[in-house]
Amino acid sequence: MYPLKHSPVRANPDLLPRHYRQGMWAWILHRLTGLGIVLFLLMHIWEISSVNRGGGAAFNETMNALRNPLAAFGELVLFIAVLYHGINGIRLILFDLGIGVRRQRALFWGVLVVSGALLALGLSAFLRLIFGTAPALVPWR
Amino acid sequence: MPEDTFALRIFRFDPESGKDPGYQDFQVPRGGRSGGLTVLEALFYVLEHQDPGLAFRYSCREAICGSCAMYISGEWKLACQTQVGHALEGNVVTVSALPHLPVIKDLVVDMEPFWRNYEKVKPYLINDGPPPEKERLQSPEDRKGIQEMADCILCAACHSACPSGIANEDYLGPAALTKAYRFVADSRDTAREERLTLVGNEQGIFRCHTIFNCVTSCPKGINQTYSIQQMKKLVMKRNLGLQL
Repeated sequence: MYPLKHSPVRANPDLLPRHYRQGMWAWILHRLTGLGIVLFLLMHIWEISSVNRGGGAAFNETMNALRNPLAAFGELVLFIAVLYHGINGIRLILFDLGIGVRRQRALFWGVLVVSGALLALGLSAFLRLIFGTAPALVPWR
Repeated sequence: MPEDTFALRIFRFDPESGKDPGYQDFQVPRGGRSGGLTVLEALFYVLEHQDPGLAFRYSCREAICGSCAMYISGEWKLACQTQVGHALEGNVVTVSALPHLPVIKDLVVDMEPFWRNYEKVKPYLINDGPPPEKERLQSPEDRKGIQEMADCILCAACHSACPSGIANEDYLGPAALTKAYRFVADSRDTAREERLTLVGNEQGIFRCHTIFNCVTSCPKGINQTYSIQQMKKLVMKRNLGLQL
């Protein structure tokens, strides 16, 4: 027996991404990138606080240890997260100002396009850090 | 078994049976060459031919009463308004009770959390002025401004779809907030200040994270987020001491 008053049974929605619409994607990605950026902030505090643990030598040692392709890949992920989080943040601010509430789908695609364009601008620099060399994705690099 | 059938996968739960809730499949004919079978009609077929114990709510069968809101193949829909052909995933249509609301039996949910929050926003006209001789008149232009919000049929699809309301039964929810804006924007209503105080807190408009699941799920095409964002603007203006 299920005593309804104490432990109600509830149906759950299908939380698989196949049912997400634009607004849900925007929200989920905003939350995930936000958490990722907070995680980076903690790592960043740890890495620069090495100067307190062992002075300039320890700081330089930490910086050198982070000069590897894996860390560069992490920086690329951070770059993507900051791009999306920042530009989607502008979308959310527009909503709070009452702008574009009825155009939310188009605005989400706009966020992706602007993020993608800025990513293309920075990508060759990151690829050079990861692989040592990279093709010029934009003519002026 | 007839050839032209599809599987109707229904969420079943009977509190008196002592069994765990789960899904049960029924084979339902697609309704001949003309098609045109709605999910509600498919539920009726199961009720009449296969399991008379199946429980679900319905009333008008024409998308105006809001009784048959369900979670159909991953979307919040009215069963009477949804064609089986549009809800098929492979050869299966999955129907479950509105998520996040307590299930009474099968597809029938306890709407109490929805109505409790609906009542909180005082969903009726408040006017301090003297009673008019006949009725309180409103110009057609003023009526147009609240047309969208007044279209709500209280089916609770948006309330159930809102991720901000999961595990938080104190959040007013998109339906109640849209109703609040329907009266905030009403030219005859004089309780605007009181209404903005009712909704302008962390269990009201400021819990909305503009996810737009309510807008996606609304069977009447109402943009609840528009109402909520309009009230956010009004509350911020008021809190900053600006003229409303």
